Amino acid sequence: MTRTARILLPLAATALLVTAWHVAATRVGSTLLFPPPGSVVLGAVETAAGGRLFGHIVASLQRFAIGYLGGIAIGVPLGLLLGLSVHARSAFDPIIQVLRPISPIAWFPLFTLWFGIGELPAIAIVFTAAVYPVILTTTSAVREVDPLYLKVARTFGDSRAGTVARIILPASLPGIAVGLRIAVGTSWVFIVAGEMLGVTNGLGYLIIDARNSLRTDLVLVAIVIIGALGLGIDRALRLAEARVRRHWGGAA
Amino acid sequence: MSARPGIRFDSVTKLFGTSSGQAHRAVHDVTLSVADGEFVCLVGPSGCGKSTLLAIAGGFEQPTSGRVLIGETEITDPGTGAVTVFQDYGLFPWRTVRDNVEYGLQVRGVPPAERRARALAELDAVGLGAFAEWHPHELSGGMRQRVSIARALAVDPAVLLMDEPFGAVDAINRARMQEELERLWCEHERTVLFVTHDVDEAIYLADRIVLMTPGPGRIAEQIDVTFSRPRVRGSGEFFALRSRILETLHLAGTESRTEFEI
Repeated sequence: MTRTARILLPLAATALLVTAWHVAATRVGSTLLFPPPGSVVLGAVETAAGGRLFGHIVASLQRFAIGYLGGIAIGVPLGLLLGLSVHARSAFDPIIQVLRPISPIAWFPLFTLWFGIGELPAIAIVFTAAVYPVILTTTSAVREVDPLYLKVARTFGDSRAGTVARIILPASLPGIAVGLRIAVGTSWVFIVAGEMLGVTNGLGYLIIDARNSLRTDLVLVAIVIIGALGLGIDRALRLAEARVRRHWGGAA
Repeated sequence: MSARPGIRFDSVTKLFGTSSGQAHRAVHDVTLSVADGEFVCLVGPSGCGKSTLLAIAGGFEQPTSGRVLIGETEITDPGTGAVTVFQDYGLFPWRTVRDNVEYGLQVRGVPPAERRARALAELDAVGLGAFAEWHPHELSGGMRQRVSIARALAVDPAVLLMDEPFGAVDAINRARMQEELERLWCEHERTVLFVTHDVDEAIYLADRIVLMTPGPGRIAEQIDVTFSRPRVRGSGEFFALRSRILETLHLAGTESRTEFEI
């Protein structure tokens, strides 16, 4: 595919979608039930003008960053432990496999009881969504370290701790980077749900607030922004991941 | 001159369990002494136990009976005296060439400045001084193996174990690698135990060739290679020795096959 095609095709598809949206909305004829693209743009301009929209975005990104980084801070060491120790793996893997398929939303009632109404339940939901993919990919990255590297470590008489720090950790970094990117996608989805209760700003709050005041155009503003930010975060992590892989010698 | 001990195999036998529950005799009663500064090649067809023997010398495998000694120290773990160079290099892709060579020194707690100087000196010795800041994936197979040899030599091991180190290198570069290894060895006279199935490689490099045969893996014959270095691959004595070795291996091969059929 040529470079121009790569740029033009998604633009054309987006234009087609927006046009179809506009036509359909005009047919429905109710800005409340189905706001056309034009009124969504006007709504965006309106909220952006007061600086409120920017405040919502910053609030969401902050909560997301804390929950996601927390998930890494807990998930990577735990994944390392499970990858290194057969005993730890056989003890904890079943527990993780049972907890993992539970939607983070299911924990919401308990989170609000434990952490109160406010920031923390939203952060905890993002954390819950991020931590499992990080644990699992880190574990498998550690287990897939080339056994030859470990033989080299042994022939040079490296200690267990030295081998972990000098060989296993750097060798599994490309695999961990993949996990970090997967986790960013899964946990960003849940920031909205986390903000639908108990907070007074953020994009999830914006959706609920807009619904309560029957501003469906603003609901769509929030939805589009959530999607765009999700795409942006994913792209940033893809770049970081590619850098790690390049620096690591193309997973030689 | 140097007081290095060489390496000694003392009635080493190694059995492996098989899936059918029978024990496979990979190495049978091998006694072998490699003197300090000697270059010994283990040669034989696959299954003759040469790689198992090297793995035992490297501390990666434990003998079922018998023992391996470097001086008075029995080898029970890797990292106790011998350093192994592997066929697939085992270079760390996230480290530069120099950092790779520094690895063993880092493990031994050598301070950074000295580490760096020694690594660069070893890289110069294998002709890769200009590539110190490159990454392994930017180098050819032959260059990678030279880095891995430099990494091993940097820690000045009592014994250097080489497991078909040029097996993954193409034929033309293999000859060059053999010449370089010989030059390096002549400069330092290190004790080398070298596994190969390439008879020419063994004749070119070895002070002594240990011929091994399978079923069970044991030493068939030991041959001192006395002609002067650097050896000429096309010379008459080279050919004569080659024919003799191939004949020995061939005879032993038919013999064990007959045994097997009965």
